[in-house]
Amino acid sequence: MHAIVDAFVLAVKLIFTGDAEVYSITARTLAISGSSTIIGALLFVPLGCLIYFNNFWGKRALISIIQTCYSVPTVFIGLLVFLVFSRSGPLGFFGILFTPQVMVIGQVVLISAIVTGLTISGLSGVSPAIRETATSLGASRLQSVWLVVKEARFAVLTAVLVGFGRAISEVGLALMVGGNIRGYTRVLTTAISLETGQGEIALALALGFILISLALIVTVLANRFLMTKEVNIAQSRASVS
Amino acid sequence: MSYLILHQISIVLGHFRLQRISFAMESGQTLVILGPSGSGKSALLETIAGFNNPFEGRIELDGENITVLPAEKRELGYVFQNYALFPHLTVEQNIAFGLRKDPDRMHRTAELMNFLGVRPLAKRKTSNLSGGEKQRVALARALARNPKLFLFDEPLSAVDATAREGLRDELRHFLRTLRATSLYVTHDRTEAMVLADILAVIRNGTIRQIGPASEVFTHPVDSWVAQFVGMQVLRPEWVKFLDKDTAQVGIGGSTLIAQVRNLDARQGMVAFQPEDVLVTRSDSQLPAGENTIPLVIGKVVPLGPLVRIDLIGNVSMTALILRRQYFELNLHPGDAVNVRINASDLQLVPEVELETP
Repeated sequence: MHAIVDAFVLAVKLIFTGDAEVYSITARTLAISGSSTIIGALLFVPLGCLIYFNNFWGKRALISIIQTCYSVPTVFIGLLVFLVFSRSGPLGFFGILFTPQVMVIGQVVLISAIVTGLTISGLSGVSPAIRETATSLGASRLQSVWLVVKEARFAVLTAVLVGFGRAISEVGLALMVGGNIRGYTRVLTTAISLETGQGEIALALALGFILISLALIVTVLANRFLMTKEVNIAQSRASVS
Repeated sequence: MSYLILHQISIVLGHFRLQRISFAMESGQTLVILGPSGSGKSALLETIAGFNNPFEGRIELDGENITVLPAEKRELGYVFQNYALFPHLTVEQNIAFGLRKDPDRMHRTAELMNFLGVRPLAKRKTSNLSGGEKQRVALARALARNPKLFLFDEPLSAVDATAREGLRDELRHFLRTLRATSLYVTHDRTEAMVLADILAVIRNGTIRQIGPASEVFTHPVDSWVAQFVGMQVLRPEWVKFLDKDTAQVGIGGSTLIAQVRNLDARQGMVAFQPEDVLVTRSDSQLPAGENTIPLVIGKVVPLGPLVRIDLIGNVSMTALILRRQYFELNLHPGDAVNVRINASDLQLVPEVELETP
């Protein structure tokens, strides 16, 4: 218990005394996981829509496979990405192993299933009558699809946030393809792993607190962004009544 | 030429088939499609709306063949179960949704909101509206594009019984006022009775009977339709045909005269509405008369202004009488009564497999 309190105090100190290394690791973590989440969202939310809105042979099986991939270990993804981008791998000519870029690529692969699958689940939660009503009101296929996506926006945002959570919290992949190079590919999770290995438990815990705070801030900001419109409408409703 | 014509429409949806559906209706009429769950009534509506593709048959609306026309170009006003209002849009945005390309959309939306009395709700989201408000918004939204045909897919099925009556009356008023041509799908026979000009009873993907609502409710084509529209169905002990329209039937040891309906074979079931069962005390001074069966009152169930009397004896049946009449006749469980069903109210119909509707 004492260690946790010490760690919390240390975390606050590190944040408010402007520890350059901690700031740099935090910024890098945010940049890498943020980039991978944005790229993942741009790729896999549309993929989820594509799968949900089209009927094809093997659709159910594909969705089952995607859902199974939610729990693929990060080290396995790390190993695959390592093999692909290692010097002798098929994409080794890019020479990006042990760089932040390959960490982003790895995290995009890592969150692909979760963002796609949860997007499909979110869209399934919208009544088919919504889309059919839109069509009967003259909406084109694209317009009615967009309407359903807007109806499922909270579920889609959740899919993206869960993806972000998985990306920012993973350690195996970051270690394997990033190499935990100080000042270059060290992120919060790899730093925690390193400090724990060196017996700096308080520092490791402090970095853990920062990591959790970061995830919390991003989630709150994302929710606020979506809720703004709801609040505006609620206020206008109150003024009407 | 009829306004809406369906000619031999057949579709396959997985293991379900809608088989050779044909009917025609005139402009301004309301056709109610009545059937149990899984009978294909919603599938039929979706086919007319363009969401299902028939593999054979033709649909004509206002002289135009729309069988292969995309759903968004059919100019229909579709009102779904629970109204399917768009939750993230306001009332005003919901109504204006179908008017995206209309330069006069704001004016038209305001006009519709005034017409249906939802103007004060314009900026509200739809999730907190009452059932009546939701219905009016859904109607305004469907009306916005001046649809050639309204399609209602059990809009009142999830509404509680108290609200349903008011909403049903309001809907009837709306349809009659606008002389809107509409197809209305339901499994509720009261809704069908209130709204229908024409009634189609559907079962297992085929229309069993179609005709004026009053005709279907009083002259069902077979025992299944009779049961589904709320009639009691009994197997007679014997049948003796007097001519092609009338027969004598033995029920509960008594001889009754019944009308014969569509009966090719020599077997049939007798069908009658419980409200057509006339009950008198057997110790009253009135003569028992024709078409009478002596029975005993079993259970009595008050149903608001009506009383349901379960009658037992050589045969069991149910009578529905006014509550006031029940007390005037001084009836009690265990009393011996004479039960009369007029020959004009007793139908001998072909027997088909019965099921719980």
